[in-house]
Amino acid sequence: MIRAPFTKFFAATALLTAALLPTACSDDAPDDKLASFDRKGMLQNLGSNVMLPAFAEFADKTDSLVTQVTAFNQQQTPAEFAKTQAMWLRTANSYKRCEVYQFGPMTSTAVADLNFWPARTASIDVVVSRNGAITESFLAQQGATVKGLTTLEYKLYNGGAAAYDQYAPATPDSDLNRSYLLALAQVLRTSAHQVRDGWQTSYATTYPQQDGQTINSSINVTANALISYIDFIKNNKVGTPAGKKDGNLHPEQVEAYYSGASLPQIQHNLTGLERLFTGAGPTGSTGPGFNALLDHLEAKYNGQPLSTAILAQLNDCRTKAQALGTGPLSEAVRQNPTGVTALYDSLKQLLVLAKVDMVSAVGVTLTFSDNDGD
Amino acid sequence: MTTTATRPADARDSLAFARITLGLLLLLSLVRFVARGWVREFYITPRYFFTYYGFEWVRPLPGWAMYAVFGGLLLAAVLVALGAWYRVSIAALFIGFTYVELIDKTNYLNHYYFISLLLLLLCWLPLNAAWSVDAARQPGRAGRFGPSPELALKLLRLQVGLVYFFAGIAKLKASWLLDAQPLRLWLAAHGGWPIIGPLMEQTWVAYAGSWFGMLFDLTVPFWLLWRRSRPWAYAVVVVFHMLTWLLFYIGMFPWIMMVAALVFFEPATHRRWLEKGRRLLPFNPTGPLRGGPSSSEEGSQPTTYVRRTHPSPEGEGPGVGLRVFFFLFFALQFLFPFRYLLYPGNPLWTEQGYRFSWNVMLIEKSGFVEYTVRETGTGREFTALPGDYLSKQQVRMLSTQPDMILQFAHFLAAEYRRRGVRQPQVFAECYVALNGRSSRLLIDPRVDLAQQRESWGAKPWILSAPK
Repeated sequence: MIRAPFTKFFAATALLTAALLPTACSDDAPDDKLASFDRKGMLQNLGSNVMLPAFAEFADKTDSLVTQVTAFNQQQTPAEFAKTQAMWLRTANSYKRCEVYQFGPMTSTAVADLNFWPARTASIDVVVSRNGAITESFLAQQGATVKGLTTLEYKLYNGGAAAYDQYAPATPDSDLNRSYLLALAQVLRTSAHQVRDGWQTSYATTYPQQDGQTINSSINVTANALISYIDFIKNNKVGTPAGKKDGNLHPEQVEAYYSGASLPQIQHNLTGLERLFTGAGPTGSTGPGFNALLDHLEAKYNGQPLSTAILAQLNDCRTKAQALGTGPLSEAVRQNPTGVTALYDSLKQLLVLAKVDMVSAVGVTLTFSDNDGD
Repeated sequence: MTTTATRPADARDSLAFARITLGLLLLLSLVRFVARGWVREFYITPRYFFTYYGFEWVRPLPGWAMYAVFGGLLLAAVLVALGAWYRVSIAALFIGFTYVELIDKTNYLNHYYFISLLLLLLCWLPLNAAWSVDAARQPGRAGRFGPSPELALKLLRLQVGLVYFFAGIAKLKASWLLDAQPLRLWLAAHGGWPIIGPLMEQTWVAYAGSWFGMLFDLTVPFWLLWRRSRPWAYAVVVVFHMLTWLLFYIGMFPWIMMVAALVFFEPATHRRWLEKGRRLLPFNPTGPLRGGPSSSEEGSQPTTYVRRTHPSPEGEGPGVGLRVFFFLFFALQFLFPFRYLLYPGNPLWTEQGYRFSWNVMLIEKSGFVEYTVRETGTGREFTALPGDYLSKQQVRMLSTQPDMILQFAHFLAAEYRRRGVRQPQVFAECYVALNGRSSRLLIDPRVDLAQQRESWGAKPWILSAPK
């Protein structure tokens, strides 16, 4: 950190007020802009009304998932299996809406534990070949590659309609598969609760307090997270499967490959992103978000408010994703490369608006090392 | 031999003061640089380095050797401050520091350039004539090279003064004076500060700051030269640099300038400070260390005194070679900042002629760049993301600077050729926002950068700036 805020702030206050206040006071025409933007208020809203409820909802979903898996383990019918799949989907969607908020309690370890992908199927299969029951405490000790939402997805969807068979009472190893499924849900629940609790007990309080301009201030951290995330959707969720990098298609590298839910999940990601801009919470609350800050700074993009341009581009991304139809993205990269490229390009434009225009308007130090400038 | 405490203060005291303070400040800067892990981050970890045009042969050394270079620099800075083996240590400091700066233009900072220039100049100035280990070891011989101490002091002041002056010239631009940019953006970013926050968002504050900054830079060398205004001018220097330090991420720059500006004070003042500093030492340096050689026949005029007791080897003043060097050294510095006039377009946008021109704090730029590599013949296309090859800091610098974008395009061409892509064409899609304006394309995305060569010439593939 370059600044020792307190002493330096006082020095600056003394100097600046001495130098500038006489002129400021003599200007008796009240200026409405003198009321500065309430950064703390924006952060308060984003923390308490947007992000914390999103993490809480995800934590609740993991509770329901554990309940559902328990029910399925007691009654191994195809109907219960379908309900388990549906519950997984709701849990995953819920996660996708808070996946953007990767800071604070949502550490990189938490992200890996919750959702390592693409699935390392060989590693996952090894777990089942183990002698002895797979318990929650056993799985908690294992690496991120054999737990999380994607492993659950593999265990629930791999093989299509035949996915149920591994749990059928007559199948050898079905006990092991069932215990693995339950342990997966339980370990996921623990991780989700940890993040939620981290927000609830402390981070929701400290987040709005970091309202300065330093690298670790909340506005900076949040802006960097949302920029990195748009970049991540563009490159990893769309670019890699579409063969943007090496010229070869990699359909199997889409997220949610087994459930085919990658396109809806991108939509949920966009929802999580959008809430940071609009300040609208998952429970229907409203309040200031990044758009309010951009509007306060009168940030423009080719004549129109930058906030309008960003929301319009976000909607364009949604439209481009919808245009790919209801089939899985792994099919779309093969059958509709033009449409996938359109989505990729739309995400790129969203990235430019966030990383270039927004950063420039907000004066966010998009800094990766706290290097000196000028 | 009389003790030097009795000799009147002269330019040698000023030179010694400059040597000690700058040596210590450089030491501090280097320690800070190493302590922050920047040696590894900037010179060991990256796999690719953006060399300077004409200095492509400058390569980083293996990791341990880079640390050895910094170790050597630390030692050299200590020796310079002490005035021990001055000519060797200052030359080592100049060569080592400049070598490190030449490795990667990602890390270019105006004040690094200033330090390199200053160190080069100091190689030829007798800063060890007094208050030095050299003077203690070889009384009467130390510091007897180059120009007289009086001339040396003038050259030193010229070097410091022209940084301010040209920084002021560089501010004579429409965006700085008429739009108060980028100061408006930067001050507004501090709108959250208590009490003065709202003030920071006031447009007139940004205008006042811009105009004051311009006038300050242009005139402060002259206020510092004039004895009567000097203390006030220096107070303004301190306030000005403290403000910039508080508001911006500019590292050591304010401190370096605050210390460098002390060179404008009188030798008697420097002498007083040196005496004060000496009293803080746990030991008592002897006469020669403090004052260097002295003469009982010294006159009251420092100039005549020096002339008589400091016959330089070449006779009166610096030799012809050195005079030519000083002339070229400063002439180049006076001309180089204006080279942007030879290029079309807004230098803040194209950055042609931007570096080494004291363009300090003139732009707020954000950018984004992604490359497309296309195989000639087959038309196969690949998206190349700079982040896959470069550090985040390098990507940040790359994304707004055309010459780096070109350099990296050449790297990509070689990289894809190595991967078996025949005659790769490289296209850059680069969006930049300058001083709060809307983002727009910086580079013509239809131009195959693999076919473009770096030169002093204008780069026609840079698209025009936003109005």
